[in-house]
Amino acid sequence: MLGRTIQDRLLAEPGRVASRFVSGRGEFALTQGALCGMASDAARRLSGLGLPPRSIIGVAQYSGPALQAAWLGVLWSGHIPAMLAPPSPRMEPEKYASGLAGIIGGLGLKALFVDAESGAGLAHLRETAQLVSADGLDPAATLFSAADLGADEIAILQHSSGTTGLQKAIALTAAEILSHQSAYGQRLALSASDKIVSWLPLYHDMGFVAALLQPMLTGIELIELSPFEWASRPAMLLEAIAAHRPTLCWMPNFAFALLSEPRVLHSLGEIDLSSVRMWINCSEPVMVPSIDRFITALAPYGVALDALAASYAMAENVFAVTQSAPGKLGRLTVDREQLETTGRVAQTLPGDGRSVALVSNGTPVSTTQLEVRDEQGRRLGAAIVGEFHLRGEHRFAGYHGRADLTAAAIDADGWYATGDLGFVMDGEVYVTGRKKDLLILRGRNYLAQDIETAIGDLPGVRPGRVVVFSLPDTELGTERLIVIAEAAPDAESGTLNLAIRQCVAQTFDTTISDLRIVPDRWLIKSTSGKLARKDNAAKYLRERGK
Amino acid sequence: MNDDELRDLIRGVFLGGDGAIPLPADLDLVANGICDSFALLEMAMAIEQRGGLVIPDSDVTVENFGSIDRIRAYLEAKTG
Repeated sequence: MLGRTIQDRLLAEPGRVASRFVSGRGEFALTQGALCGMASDAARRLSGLGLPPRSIIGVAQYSGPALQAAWLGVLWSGHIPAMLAPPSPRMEPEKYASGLAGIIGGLGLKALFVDAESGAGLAHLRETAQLVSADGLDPAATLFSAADLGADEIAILQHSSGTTGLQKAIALTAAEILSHQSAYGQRLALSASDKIVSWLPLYHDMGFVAALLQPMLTGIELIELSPFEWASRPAMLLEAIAAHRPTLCWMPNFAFALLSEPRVLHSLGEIDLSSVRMWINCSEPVMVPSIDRFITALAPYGVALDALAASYAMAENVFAVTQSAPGKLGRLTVDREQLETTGRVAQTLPGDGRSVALVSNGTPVSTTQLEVRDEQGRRLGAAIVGEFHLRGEHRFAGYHGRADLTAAAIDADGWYATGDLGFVMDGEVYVTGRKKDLLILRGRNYLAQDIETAIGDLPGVRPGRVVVFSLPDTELGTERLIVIAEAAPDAESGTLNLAIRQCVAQTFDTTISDLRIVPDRWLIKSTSGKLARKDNAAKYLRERGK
Repeated sequence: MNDDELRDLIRGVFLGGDGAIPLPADLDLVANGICDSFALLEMAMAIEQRGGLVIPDSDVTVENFGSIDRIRAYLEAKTG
């Protein structure tokens, strides 16, 4: 049903531009008709392999027309596509291949679409899965009629996070995906005049839904940049916006911080970014300083405060759980100590030194119910922090091949326990952290990202490049606070060390146990671009053990 | 113990031996997050070992150990 729905839409307007691929080397526009041809070619290549029906097929390619076409080709051929990360340029090929081998085994992949670049060094994987080339797909290939599967059959697999290695794959049906798009499009007030711009990787749920499924299901044009190219030159996003006038842009919080940096903006001329009606901050906690800096830095280019938006989303709900409506991003200033010690929300005045500003992620989309529950599973009222539980029309069917994990995550009444913490106030959903990121230092609770935000704002720290975690210390009988911060190129490490310690002591009334000032790129990011606390804690322990 | 010896000791106990961190003699160690009041005892024990003297727990206060200046003054008073 999903493949057929997309095919019908593409065939309805073959001359319409589906995607524009923008890079330093030039631009390329892909029409809906050409995408149809390439996807038909991909479907035919796969069908020729004689695989069992409903096989799981990986797609591990770099961004571009062939990636979209291969994914679609899998769907049309009646198999189940699973989008996977291509090798990162920084990654050693052997490590990538070994991680991929784990995924192939874990998911039971029968075949893998690769391009010349992503498939280099993977030949030895042929023993476990067939490698299918996505190079040279023919835009003029005759139509491959899309397999018509039932609405409630598993249509696609999506990873719960972009990190490589052993992952939980989320199984989604066509009915779930279509229900999500309908509700999400309504909340965003999508129209035919919208255009999406994205540098997001498509193997991560935000990129996958916002910049692949959504354009394919709605016919909205996509302006796509390579995530790797964008990372090396973030300003290219802003230049692409000025050139193509898109209206919607999804990014994680760190990108808002990055795009506010003078070093990113200094080369821009007088460009106009006012076409973007929603800058949607999503997939990592929205931080007030980041969006404030973003607005301050980009206001001269026409970015308005009411264009900021936020969404609380996860692959387990296809994507959006909540989304702020256009022009309505709520904020609260609350007593930090009370929030940390009692989990209760007390509004206060900004700037009194004890307050913390929070940004709403909007209200739940119409198809999703959200409840806040305490540790015993009791439903909590408004303005009390608890764990978010959700259910609704497009809550995922389960983890692929893991009935045990599915049963543990979804209760008998259909509620999924997210592991995320937050509260609801006036119907608006505020995310305050995750269960596992809670630090308990000498009997007081801290949210790791609050400390990271405070340190990340200090001069001399690379914006957003801070990781905070705690390690249990049996000698002390509590947890030790560990901070690892990447220094800006001109920072003097001793002075910075003192400034960070002072900031934590003064703002949080606690003391850093170990502070490491590290060079650029020491911190590990997951493949989705977030700083991974657990991975960085492991790296810290390894280095300390040397 | 002179200021530099105390500085080295503090760096060793709390800062992983990091010599780059500036520690002016009047820097309030607790307010600046070098240590917390719970950890002053650890520092006092190190001073005992290094200086060959006995410091009663009741003397281990922020007033006596909260900065290099204060520690020096305490030790001078103690050893006469």
